[in-house]
Amino acid sequence: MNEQPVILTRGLTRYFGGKPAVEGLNLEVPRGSVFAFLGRNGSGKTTTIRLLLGLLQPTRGEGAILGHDIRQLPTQARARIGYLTEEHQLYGWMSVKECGDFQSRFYPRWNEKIFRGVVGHFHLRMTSRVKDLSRGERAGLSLGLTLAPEPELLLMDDPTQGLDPVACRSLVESMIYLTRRSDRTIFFSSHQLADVERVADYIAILDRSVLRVCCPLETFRKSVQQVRLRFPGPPPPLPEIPGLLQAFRSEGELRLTCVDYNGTTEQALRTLAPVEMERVPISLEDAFISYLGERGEKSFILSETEAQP
Amino acid sequence: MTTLIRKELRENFILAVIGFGIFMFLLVQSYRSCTSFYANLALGQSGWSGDATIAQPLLGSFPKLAMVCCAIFGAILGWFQIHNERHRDLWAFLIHRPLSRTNIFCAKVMAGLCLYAAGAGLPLLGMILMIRIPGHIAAPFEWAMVLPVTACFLSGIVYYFAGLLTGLRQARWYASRGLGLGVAILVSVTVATVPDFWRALFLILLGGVLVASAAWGSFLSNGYYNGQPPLGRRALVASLMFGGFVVVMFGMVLLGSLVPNPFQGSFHWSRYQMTKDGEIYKMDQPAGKTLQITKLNGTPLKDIKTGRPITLTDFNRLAVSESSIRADFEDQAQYQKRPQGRYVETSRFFSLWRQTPDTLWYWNRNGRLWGYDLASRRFIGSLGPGGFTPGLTTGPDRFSRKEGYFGNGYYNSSYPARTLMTDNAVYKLNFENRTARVFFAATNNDRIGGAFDVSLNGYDWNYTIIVTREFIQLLNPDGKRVWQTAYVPAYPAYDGVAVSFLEATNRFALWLNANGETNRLKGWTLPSHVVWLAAGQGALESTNLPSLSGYQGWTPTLTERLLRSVVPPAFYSAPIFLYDTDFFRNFPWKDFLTSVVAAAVCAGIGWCQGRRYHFTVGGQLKWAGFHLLFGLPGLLGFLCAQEWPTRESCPKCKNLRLVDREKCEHCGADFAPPPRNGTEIFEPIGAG
Amino acid sequence: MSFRIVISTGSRVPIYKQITDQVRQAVVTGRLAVDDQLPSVRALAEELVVNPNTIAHAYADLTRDGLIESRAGRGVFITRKRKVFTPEEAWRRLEPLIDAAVGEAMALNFTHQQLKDAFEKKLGQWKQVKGGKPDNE
Repeated sequence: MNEQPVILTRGLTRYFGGKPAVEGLNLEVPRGSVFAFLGRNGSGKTTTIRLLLGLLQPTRGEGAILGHDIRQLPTQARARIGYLTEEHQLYGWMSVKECGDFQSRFYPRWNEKIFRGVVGHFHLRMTSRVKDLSRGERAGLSLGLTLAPEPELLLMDDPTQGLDPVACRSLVESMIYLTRRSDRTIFFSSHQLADVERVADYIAILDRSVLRVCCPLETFRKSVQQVRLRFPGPPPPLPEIPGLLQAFRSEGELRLTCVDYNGTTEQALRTLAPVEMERVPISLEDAFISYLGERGEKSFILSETEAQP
Repeated sequence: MTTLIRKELRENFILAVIGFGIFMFLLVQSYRSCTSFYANLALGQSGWSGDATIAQPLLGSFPKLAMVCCAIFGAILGWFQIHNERHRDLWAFLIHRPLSRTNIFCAKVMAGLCLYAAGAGLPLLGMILMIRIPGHIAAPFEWAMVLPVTACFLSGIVYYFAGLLTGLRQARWYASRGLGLGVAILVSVTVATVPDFWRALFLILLGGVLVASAAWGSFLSNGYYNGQPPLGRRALVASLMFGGFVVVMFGMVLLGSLVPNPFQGSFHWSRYQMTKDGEIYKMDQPAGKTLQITKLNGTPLKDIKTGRPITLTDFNRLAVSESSIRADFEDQAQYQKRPQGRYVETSRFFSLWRQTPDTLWYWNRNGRLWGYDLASRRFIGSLGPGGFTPGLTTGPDRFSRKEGYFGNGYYNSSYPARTLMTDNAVYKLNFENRTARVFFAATNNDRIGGAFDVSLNGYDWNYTIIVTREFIQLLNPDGKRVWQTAYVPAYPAYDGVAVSFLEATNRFALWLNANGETNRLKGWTLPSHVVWLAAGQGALESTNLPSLSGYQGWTPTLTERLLRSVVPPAFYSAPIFLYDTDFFRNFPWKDFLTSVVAAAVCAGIGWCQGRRYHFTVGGQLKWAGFHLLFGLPGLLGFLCAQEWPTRESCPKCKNLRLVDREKCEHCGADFAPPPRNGTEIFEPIGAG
Repeated sequence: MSFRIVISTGSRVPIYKQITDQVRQAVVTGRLAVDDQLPSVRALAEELVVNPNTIAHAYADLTRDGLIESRAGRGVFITRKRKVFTPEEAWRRLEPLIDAAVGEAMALNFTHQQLKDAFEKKLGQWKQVKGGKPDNE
């Protein structure tokens, strides 16, 4: 079995103007995985995907996709990579059938059954024009066009953006369907954490153009923990804790979210002499928001002193 | 690839239809104005002012219209083909397929050129056929007349590629995107000004290949400079350089327009002028000073009323009427084989000769007069020395040439000529009877070297000057000789013959001027010979005047100097390609040196920039050579084409380092990975 | 009474754990009996719209704990094989549940006696269902 990752980058960097959109990216995407690429808006996800596809030249660093250097992707490699763009744009004047006919001419391994299957799953009529389709229908058509050539690697840039829940669900179902074959890899970026939770094996998080997380999803969930400390009076100031993400202070209580909570951290917290200390499980969404939100102590939008007139 | 071609055709079809419609409309309007002009002539509602280009739209309005419309249509078509994908973020969809980018580019271009040919070519083709069919345009037609519009059509292809390039370029300054059009503009300019079609074709090809290579390169790299093959990069820099040249020229002209009288450089010349009383005066315009009009002994001519030196306008009122001929005894048959004028000019083919109430006569370059019926606009026949024939003959039965001919075809129809000459005779033409009668025959194997009809008031025929090898004579309209004198000093040293008409005294002055080239070679020592004559009497007196060198030159203004210094040194060689080599006889060395100095400054700037961005030594030398050749426009192209990488402070050596190198240029330090903040979660694959 | 696994996203409990908890609960309450068949990994993944690896993880945990087994060619079945826990392990598994129950009861102002009675009642019901047989074999 081929153990080489389908996507491998070393120090991949791209500058726009004076600032890096992506810096020092060391990404490894294993074959056969469903890999979610997360990050806030503007953190560099789309840039990364464009770099991987050779639509943008890196400023520095290197990358390989399906074993080929991203700076010189051979044309035949493109037949094995499917790319679903943000917004699912297509030629507005084409009909669904014409899109299929157009695309099929380019790929020797076009599977018409898959195309029709996906198109049917999204309830599209063959004669509708693309410009008359809703966003969700266009997503379905794009997906059909991308899946029909049976690509080994599927790159999806925020595929569920702007889709209604039904279309969203259809898309996620298609992704599950794809995992039937163990040699197919899906790499997608998303903001829908519910879908990520369902479908991802691995996640990577891009925090302001730097990769900070690249691990299996379970590892991330296990690593980000919330600890609640209760105090008789106002909580004391926090000591220096490595891996601290966020701290929420309220009357008599201190809630900390941190990464890699271990014995040392526990010892450090015990020195504050809390009345009670317990580990609280959190959802993936909360873990993610804590990870990417503002670090340090915070309060809810307005502090108490601000809220009072 | 055919799928892509079909998709491109379908996508841009409407644009082509719109272009076709607009172009067709404009051409038809132009054609209609031409036919209404003929209709007005036929109805006697207007006379012809003499601009022969109105007669044949293929040489007049069509090329102008075609140049503008083909340029705009080509550029818009090219730009739209890229815009279709760019503005809807379909670029990735187009590019990401198992087809090489070059193939995709070629598919776009093939489709685009087909649409261009249909949208711009079909209307032209239609109008050409319309004109070809007799009964539509009452003017001579030759297939060579199609060449100007063909050149305009072909130059639109350069605009097409420039449009592609403009759409493709990811440039920070939006203006620099459009610089590619500069090449196309230069091509248009040269197409309109070169003498031959094949030269125009060559330049169109050159320009087209250049911009097409730049567009291809940018297509391959998604509009960026890096990532293109070397051919694309070089073509891009060259295209932007030409664009920069156009911009710089335009800028200089704008700058110059701020200065009052920017182009009023000074001509300096001197010549003789006779006044109505037979006195000869000398007019001298030295460089930068006022005109001086003096008697032959040097005393300035003063205005009687004011006592101050006479003004030019007043003096012109005193000047006598004069007609001049350049005697030419060369073999006229050979002469006719060489076309006169540029390929875009009407004068290369024909000029208006005469208009009668129902016919229109043209002097055609094959030496015959072609007649057209105004009402039916059909060709009726041609008139030669042997008479009228209802067809087009190309035999030896032709006139040698006509006098009163000006390069741009302007011919004053209020000054109708009556005679035409062959080598041995001068014929009088009658258009009502369509006959040509011998008016004057050269005797004893004498040859005719020139014949000119003189009208002193602008419409009556007063005299005809006839120059033969032996004699110069003046004839009345009824063929009677007024005077005759020997042609001494003779041809070929003296080929300028002029007659001044001193009407007050019924006298004439005959001027014999030396050939300019011959005189110049002899150091301007050949004098001008003047003979005074009276009717029926012959020569009364004569004199020799020291020769003036005529037109001496032109001193350019500061603006012109500035312009010339901004022209890159390499462009000083352009006249070789385009025009003739006369330019090199009077090579403007001073301006060339200024240009070289300016280019050296640009090379210096380029060198500094290269050092800042750590070009290789080989690269620096190549760019230095480039800047020395191409000066300021080259520098502009150099700066606009490339993406200049950001520079950041190196933590190790504190110098600014380029972000696109793996190691710092100064200290060799690697780029450190971004600093960790303690919250990273990494699990290498295979460990989980 | 057909047994259906239901998962929800955005929960504090990971999906695989939701599945294992539900299967365990079903076995304990008797909704699932020995030799009842569970859907295959692939089938459950497509039904719940969840990554098959998650299902596989859940099934692996359940297999390790001796709750289910995979029978070649036929599918996944509940098994009577039970893994023997050490007393410490067993207490570690029970303790959080007792904590939760007692804590909740105190918060709802039940008395100690009421809670004890509730436990007695539950144990009685268990004995009835299981036919009074002890659970460890």
